[in-house]
Amino acid sequence: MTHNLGVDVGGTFTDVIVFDETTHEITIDKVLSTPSNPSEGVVHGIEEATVKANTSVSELDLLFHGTTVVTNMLLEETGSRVGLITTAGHEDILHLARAWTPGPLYGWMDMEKPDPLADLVDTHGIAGTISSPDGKETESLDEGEIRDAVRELEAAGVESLTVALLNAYLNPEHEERVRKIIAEEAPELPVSISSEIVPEYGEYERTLTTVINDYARPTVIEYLEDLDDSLADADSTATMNVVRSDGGLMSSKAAKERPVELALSGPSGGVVGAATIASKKGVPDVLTLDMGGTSTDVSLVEDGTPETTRQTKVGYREFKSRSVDVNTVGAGGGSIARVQLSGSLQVGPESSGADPGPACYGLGGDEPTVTDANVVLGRIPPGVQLGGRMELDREAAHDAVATVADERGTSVEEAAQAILDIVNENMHSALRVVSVEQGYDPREFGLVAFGGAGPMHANALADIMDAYPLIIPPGPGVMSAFGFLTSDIQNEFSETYLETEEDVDGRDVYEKLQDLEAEATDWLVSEGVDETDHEFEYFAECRYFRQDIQMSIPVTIENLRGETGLAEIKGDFESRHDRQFGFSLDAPLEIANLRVIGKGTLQGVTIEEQELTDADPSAAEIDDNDVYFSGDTYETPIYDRTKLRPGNEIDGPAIVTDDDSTVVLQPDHSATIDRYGNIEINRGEGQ
Amino acid sequence: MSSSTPAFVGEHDIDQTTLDIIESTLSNTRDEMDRVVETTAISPVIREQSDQFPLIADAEGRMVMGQFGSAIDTILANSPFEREDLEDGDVIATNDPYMCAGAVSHTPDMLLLRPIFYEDDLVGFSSQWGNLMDVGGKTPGSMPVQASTIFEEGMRLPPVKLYKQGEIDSELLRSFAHNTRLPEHAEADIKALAAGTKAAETRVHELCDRFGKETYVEACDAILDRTRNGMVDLIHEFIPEGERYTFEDYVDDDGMGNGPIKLHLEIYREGETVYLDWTGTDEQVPGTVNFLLNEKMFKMFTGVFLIMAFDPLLTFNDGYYDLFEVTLPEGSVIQPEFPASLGNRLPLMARQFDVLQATFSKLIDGFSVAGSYGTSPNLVYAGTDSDGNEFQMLEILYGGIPARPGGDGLDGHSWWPLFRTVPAEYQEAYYPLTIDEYSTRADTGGAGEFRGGHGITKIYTFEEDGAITFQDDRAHTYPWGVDGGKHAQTSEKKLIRADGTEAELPSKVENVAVEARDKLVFSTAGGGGLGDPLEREAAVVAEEVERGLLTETAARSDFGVVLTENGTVDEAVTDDQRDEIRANRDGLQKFDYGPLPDDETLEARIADERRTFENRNN
Repeated sequence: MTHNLGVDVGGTFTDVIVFDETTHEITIDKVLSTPSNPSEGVVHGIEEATVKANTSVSELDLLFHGTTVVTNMLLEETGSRVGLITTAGHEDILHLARAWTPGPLYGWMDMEKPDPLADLVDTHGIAGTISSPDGKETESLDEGEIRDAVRELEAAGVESLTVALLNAYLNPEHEERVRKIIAEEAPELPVSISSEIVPEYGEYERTLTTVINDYARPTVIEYLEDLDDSLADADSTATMNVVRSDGGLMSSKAAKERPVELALSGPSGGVVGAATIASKKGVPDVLTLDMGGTSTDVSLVEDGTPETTRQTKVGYREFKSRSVDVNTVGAGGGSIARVQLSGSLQVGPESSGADPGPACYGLGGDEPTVTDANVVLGRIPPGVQLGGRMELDREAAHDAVATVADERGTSVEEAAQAILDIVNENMHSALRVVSVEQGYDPREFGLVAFGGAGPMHANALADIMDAYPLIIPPGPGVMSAFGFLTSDIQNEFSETYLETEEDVDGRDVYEKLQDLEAEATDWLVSEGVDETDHEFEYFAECRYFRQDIQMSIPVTIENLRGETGLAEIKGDFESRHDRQFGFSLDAPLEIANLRVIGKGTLQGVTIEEQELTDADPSAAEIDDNDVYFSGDTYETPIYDRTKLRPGNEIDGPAIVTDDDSTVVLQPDHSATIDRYGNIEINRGEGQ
Repeated sequence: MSSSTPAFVGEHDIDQTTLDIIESTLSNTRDEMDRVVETTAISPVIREQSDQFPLIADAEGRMVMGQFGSAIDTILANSPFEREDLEDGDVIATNDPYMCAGAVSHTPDMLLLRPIFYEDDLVGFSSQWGNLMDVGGKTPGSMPVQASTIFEEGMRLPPVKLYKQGEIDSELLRSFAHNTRLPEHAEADIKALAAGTKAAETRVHELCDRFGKETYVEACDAILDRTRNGMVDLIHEFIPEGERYTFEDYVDDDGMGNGPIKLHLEIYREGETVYLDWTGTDEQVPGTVNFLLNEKMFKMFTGVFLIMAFDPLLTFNDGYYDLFEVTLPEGSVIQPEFPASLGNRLPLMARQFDVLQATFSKLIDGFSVAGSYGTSPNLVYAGTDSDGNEFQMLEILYGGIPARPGGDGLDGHSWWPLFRTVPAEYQEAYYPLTIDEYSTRADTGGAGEFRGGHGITKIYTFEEDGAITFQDDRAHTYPWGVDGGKHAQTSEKKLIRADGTEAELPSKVENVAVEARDKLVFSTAGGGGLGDPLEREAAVVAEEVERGLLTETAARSDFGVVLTENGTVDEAVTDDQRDEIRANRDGLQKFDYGPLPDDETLEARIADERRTFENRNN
């Protein structure tokens, strides 16, 4: 029991990081994912990485596992057949989908609306109503009707069942009763009830979220069971932790109950890891930039904690599940550049994917991509591996970018620079949504860049936003797997409240939060967390009466019992409303939801501090290359990152190559290698 | 055409990439303005039914980004101040359609306009408008069905400075809000709109900081020019020169017994100019359905249609203003004269889109869209509950989206972008009613190779005495089918009293008293079908029967699809059935308007329906 292991299952690659608890050494490994039988690739990766780290599966202590299995299932619509039991008269809830069509005007002409995840054929309405807002039963259930519905659905071949009844958030009794009946009639079928998955008002989102849970459940159960079995066969006694969309962890057992919480399991790891690394460096407020082949995820970290949201979006579907507030934009290395009819240059969201990939892969792609633009400008030096290929086809990249140059009447270098400027601008816009629009000034934040392509573009973005220092952590290509190792056991417990300050006092809120804390405690105990390690955070989701925002205001629970009651919450809410929107209102405060997050800390990894050596980086310089930056060509040194030592300083321009990514240091910037092995970039000359 | 080429056309001294960046930033800013308003507004009608009405204009008042065209000139002309009197931090407010040439088309829409200054120079404007819950007048919600002048439709603010140099004129706001039924809502929502315009100001300042003021101003010109160029290409490619194309359709009635109301549009091209002529459209009507159509807005709608159909990435703006020449006959139902009432302009607004689509369907080869559910139906339920608290609910409903080129219409979706239904759980929590049903109306979408979307049925049980006001349309006329596709079914309204008696209601009623336990069954129309229904894949028809979206009867009679006992397609019988239908029909029509009687019969029927309804309720 000497090692911890983080494993991140992506669509193409599975990344593994092994941490040696004795020597604090980190080993990185990458294997191909096996989408047809996902657990196979994971086990293979774990076995290979443990061997590489000179240990064995039986020596593993803690396992941290993030996966895109649920994300892909939603995007590719490959989940299970779900039966839906809902209130009679509301059977079409998912089909009607709140009537939404996309903008602008005439957006409906091009809208592609996928079929509901629970087919109308498998949706049954049942009698029984609960009144609102008092939550009283106004019509009782008809048990015979429910039994018939369950039998019919089971006979039809559904693989899981969702129970989502109108107003169940006010009173879950009907849903619980239906679940009991299902347990009697069809004990094999997994069942979720909406009042447990999302105990909040809003029937469409609650139903959708619960259906997604059941859509993913049979596959996730099978997957995690296979994994447990395979690891047991390899004599593993390690504790399995599964990474949630909000960056927290839960047990394999809990994940099988609530797979909807895994929808953004992958991207959350990178953000949590970035937050940890930046905090360790003393930069607790950072923006994060995770740029891959087809898309970029950005987020904001304040005081070492990633911002979270309760709206999670995967493809067309937006549902209620807590996740790290990741804003995704279709900008990646494979994004295709096209000149529009009006003459404007668009980059992405279309992507060349992995096959044929950018023109420079030489696999037949002939459309210009962001990677091709980087190649043309000399930012990807010879010898760098991309997409697993040693030799890049520079001529193909040049020819592809030349098509844009021809249409715009510019040189090929200018066209390539324009492609980079536009894709950087797209990422800048995404970063603005998580910062400026939320009332944060990016100049007060650092920037952490990772993912395969992030370190190549981050310097330009830091420059546009004036967000420094820019931090490129070690192993930027496996940041998610690293981040998993830094996560805590975590779950949230919430309740719809919908009370205004005129009707309740602080004591009432206090009591409700205590109830939620008790629920959180039970869960942490069931997850095996020692009571002394429990930590709780309390939130009131506030708005002015009848507004639709829910601003999550952190609550100091003891203060609720005092004289001031809710005044502190209201004060915090108003100042945040004012900061973000520039005005406050003379209207009562409404608390829409109360929420408690229960945490149990795990020690997955320790970040090593190293001695600083001298500033001279010349031992790591391996080559030089002509690189083009905004109109000028510079003779630019190339460094091997593995040879750089803490304390080394580099003046821009420079290129730093690594196993899994290339760092571009722009002119008028300088970099230092810090004591944790990060590359820290700032504007201006080095000290 | 006679008018000269706009000044922004020509060479632009700006780096193309900088231009792309400024264009995309302004486009994102438009979205941000919406997000700010949606999150901070109080009224569900703004929040949940997200109205997308932001606009960013240049210093000349030309819309650079937005989708409704700019009426800034008219607003300033109708204000007591000159352009030079505008100062940093001012915000102009108006909700009078006649003071902004219909840029907002009924009184509940409050429009805010903020001049944007940079280094003491005017560099542009931002504007945002939203539908307030109430602005006073004779009915809750301020959208009376039966009013003959705009004076009955609430408090009107002419263009005045609501904010002066950043300070809100709270006495003005208070005076306005005081005249509404929901003053707190009005104040909050107006502040939310102002915050939306402020967001644009901040972004424009940042662009000027980053690229310089001159570059920003040059970029605005270049963006207008780019769009104009793109539109010139679209016009040449898709609009044939020489031929004249016309289309006619009707709005049912004005809610006071007058109808049907004809819309007539003719489109033709000469050179680069496209002429859109509404001559032949009926005169204004006594009721509130008159729609003061803003000329620039209509040009924008036309351009947006072409862009969305053929080049969805082109930016919409006033750049193509001079390429369209529009005739709006004075005194017609789309250009009514002051003080005609305008409260319920949605049926005509929606029909104007239908007619535009239909005319384009005629003139553009291989591109057709059918008719839609015909308005944005809405319902107001208001009263005083047993505890003495006043309540007022306003909700927009949806119907069948027409069949589209290459695809079915959507069931119960919104033709207007980004609207969402208000959750039943929200309605039940905040208002005294229950939602007993919210469902798809099977068989109501027009049959076709591509099926029109179905309408919906929503059933409300009222829990307190009160009154309801609602408007819908397409109760007498049918959303048409196109290219062999069938017309859709009409809308219907029924009140089921607590004692079990039932009454059909017209599609537009005002202040109908309801009592606790009364039920309202609100059914909207479907959308028309496209293409020959006999060409629709039989297996898809069978699936829709299984899902309850079509009845077996309709599958057989409309699509010629006959099912076996276990619900699969009976291939042989289906072939026979389809052959038989084919043999007995008189070819395929370009447009199927449904079984409409002649104009006079329809007119009499509409007048009679109203008379019967009034007699019953008085």
